[in-house]
Amino acid sequence: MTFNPSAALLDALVLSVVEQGDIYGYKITQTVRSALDISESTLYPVLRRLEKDQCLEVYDVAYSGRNRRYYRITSRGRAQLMLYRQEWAEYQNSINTILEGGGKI
Amino acid sequence: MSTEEKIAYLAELRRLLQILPEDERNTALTYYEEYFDDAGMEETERVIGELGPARILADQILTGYGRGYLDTSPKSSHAQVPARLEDAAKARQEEEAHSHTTAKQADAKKSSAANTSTKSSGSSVLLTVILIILALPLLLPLVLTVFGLLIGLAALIFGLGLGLGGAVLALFLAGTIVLISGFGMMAIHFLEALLTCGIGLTLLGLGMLMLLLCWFMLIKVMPAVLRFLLLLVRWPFERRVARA
Repeated sequence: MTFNPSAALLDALVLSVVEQGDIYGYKITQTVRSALDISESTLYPVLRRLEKDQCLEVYDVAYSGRNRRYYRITSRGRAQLMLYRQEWAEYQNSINTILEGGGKI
Repeated sequence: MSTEEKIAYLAELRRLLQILPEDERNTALTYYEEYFDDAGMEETERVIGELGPARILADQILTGYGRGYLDTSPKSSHAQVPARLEDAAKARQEEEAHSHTTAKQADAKKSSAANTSTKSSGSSVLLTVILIILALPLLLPLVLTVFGLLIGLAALIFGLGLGLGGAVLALFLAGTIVLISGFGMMAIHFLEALLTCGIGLTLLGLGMLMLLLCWFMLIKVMPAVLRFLLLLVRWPFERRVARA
């Protein structure tokens, strides 16, 4: 992958994935990795941070004799995600303007 | 075999995360244990490959922890981007709220702001006074020196003015006397008298030039010097006012 994701972009992606429905760590990683070639190790700190920021909350579900920790998006997380989407749209626009040769001086 | 690998990997991770608080370490360990389990036993090797060496994984967890993802206060410094976004949202809300506030409310806001500013400047005045008192042993000689220098400068200017005035007066007097005496000699030694008259006129001319110089000093230089002195005296106070 040529372009590196920033911390904010990772946050936005994780929030988007969790917004689709409550989900556990491994699945989040697999989904995000389908778009970004990140090493798994970068995702745990992201999840933990979002949890501490109260953008995500966790709950455990018993699954085949063990626990599975699920992540759920909070209202705060939704608000944050909305802002990220807005910022992303603006960012995408301005980048496209230049990258696709549309930028006229 | 693969279970052993997993256990060994997690044990190493636990050892490397020794520095973390216990519950934080356990949360991380639980996450990765679940990660292994969710991937499936047969995927253990692939997962270890993905996670990379335990050392690097531990570093990344510790770095995240160090940036304060554990910090429970909502305004923690680590969430710089979210904080920025939140600030932007707040600013937007405030803007909206602001456009809705009536002029009266705006005035009230202003006056309250003024109140707080006077309060803060009051405390800063107190601090300044304390500082000045503490610095007095050092400040006093300095102030006296500056004061002395200023007085000296004033005296110099005064003396210069007096000297110039005196010179003008003397030149006019001498020129007049020499001119008169030149006229007086006119009948006896015509050429010498002419020379004397010339010298007298030259002296008068010099006096006039001197007078012009005096005038110039009085009009242009003195106010400039005074302004400069005033500025010099006012400077520290102005800076303080600007800062407050």
